[in-house]
Amino acid sequence: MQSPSLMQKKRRPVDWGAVGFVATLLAPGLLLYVLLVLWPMAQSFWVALHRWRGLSGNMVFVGLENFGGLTKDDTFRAALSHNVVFFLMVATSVLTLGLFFANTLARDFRGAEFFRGLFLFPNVVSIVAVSTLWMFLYNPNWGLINAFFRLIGQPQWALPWLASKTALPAVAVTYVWYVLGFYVLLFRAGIQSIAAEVNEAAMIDGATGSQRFWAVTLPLLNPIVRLAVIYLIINSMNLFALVWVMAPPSGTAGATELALTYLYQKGFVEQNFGYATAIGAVNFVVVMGINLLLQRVWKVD
Amino acid sequence: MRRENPLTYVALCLYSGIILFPLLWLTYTSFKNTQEIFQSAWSLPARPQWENFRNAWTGVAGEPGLGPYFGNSLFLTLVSVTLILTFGAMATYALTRFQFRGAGALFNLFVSGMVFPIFLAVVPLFLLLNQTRIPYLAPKGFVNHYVGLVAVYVAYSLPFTVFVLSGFFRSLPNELAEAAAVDGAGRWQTFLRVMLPLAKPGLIVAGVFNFIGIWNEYPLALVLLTQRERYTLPLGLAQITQRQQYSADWGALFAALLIVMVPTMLVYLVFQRQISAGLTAGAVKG
Repeated sequence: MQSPSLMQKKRRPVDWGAVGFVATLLAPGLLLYVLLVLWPMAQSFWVALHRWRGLSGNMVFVGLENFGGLTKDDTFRAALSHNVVFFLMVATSVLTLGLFFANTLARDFRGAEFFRGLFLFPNVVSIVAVSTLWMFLYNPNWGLINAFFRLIGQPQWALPWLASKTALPAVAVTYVWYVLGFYVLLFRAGIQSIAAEVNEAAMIDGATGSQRFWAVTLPLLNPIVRLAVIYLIINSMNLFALVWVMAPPSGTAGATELALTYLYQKGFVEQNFGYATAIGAVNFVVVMGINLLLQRVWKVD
Repeated sequence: MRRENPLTYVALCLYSGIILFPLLWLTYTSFKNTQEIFQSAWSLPARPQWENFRNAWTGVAGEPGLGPYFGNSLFLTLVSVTLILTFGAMATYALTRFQFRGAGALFNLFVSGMVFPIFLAVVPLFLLLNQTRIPYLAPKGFVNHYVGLVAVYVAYSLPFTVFVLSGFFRSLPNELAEAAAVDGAGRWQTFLRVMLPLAKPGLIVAGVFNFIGIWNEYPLALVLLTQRERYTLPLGLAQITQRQQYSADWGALFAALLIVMVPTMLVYLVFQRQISAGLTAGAVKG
């Protein structure tokens, strides 16, 4: 290390060569990050206070009018409730299946490496490809899922899944298929970091496998489970691509309208920029608020 | 290696089937013609319809194919990942190997970007790119302009990249840099010739991860590219899916989906270890 400190000890002159070097290294990344990430983020709270329709339209300051409008907007309220329902469906499945498979795959046994690799695979596929694949699987006439129900002699279960109220649960199933491997990996990393001695001690005390899971593993995994729930909240509130490609709200009589599909509709279809930005701001504040609350209520140590 | 409880195997195999069978179905269906697809979901193709893949690539009956989108995606992804690694490594090196006032704060500023949802900023970002005009380079603004999209991809990938690389740069031994300095290497030489090669495993993790992320990226491309000839593969696939419902060459559509998925499958097979490492690193950021 040629320059351990740019803040030279007193009496030693500042090493301007090192300062220039560090500044040059930082400049391109910092410039792009401030200009394209931080500045638009900060600006969004300002744009949300304006009425602004159409690219050539004027920005008119209207204070909290957009936010007032949102409180009275039934579509927006329905959208938020769909996000919450989606979160509940996905979180229950991901936590139960994820913990079960992680607890299993944390052990070394014949074939474990294969299952670990396979479970994670859907997570690297493009979300648009996942959506398209599941659109085909759900196709009412020739899709694999309805073909399966006909095969097992239950043709009355062969529904047009993506065309009505069933669309949101159907998308949730797809989402679980897509992300489960990631949560299995997350939980497995947590379980494997629990010291082997703890488990051995429990085993010596005569605890069975499932007793060990409930009494030892799960309490020690508490911080990771909380982290997973926070992820699931963030991702459920920010769900967009899967629904937009697979079951856009226009085809489900609004049953799949979510906060962000509504934002996209308002901003980029109707060019109502102020209102769309207000949706984004509310969504952000709601997510951050829930997370802060959760970290207060759900203690880990 | 010990054997597991048989019931555990049953559960694992059942879920593996739920992952694998749709992929298998996609693969054999992409060789069927539309009539066969309508007849039965289970039947295998009577004769493999290789032309499905040609049609998916070049397009049918005036409809666009995936070919040009594949090229667009490859170009955008390679340029973006190169710049992300370059700027990311430079910034991380400055923030982790030099102690100066504000270094910690700057590092936190970068890394905090991992928790910001893109959609909060998407409208102001679109308006900023649409309104910024630079003579010759972008006289009509940066929407539908690859320079704009690449800059956005680089900016939004930096938080994760800086985070992942910082772990690797912090672990590099000081002695090597000191030895290089004693040997008369300048600051740039030490960075480029000594330290950067040592951080190669980190660069691979960050590179693979960003490659997959940008290759698959959808919402930003949807907002920032509106002209069809500029579309990336995910945008192209989404559009073909929506249009094909009317022209109904389903065989070609299955083939198109397979074409989109194969590159990531290959990347996954080769770099599975790095991908797991990147996912776990990103996850424990807390």
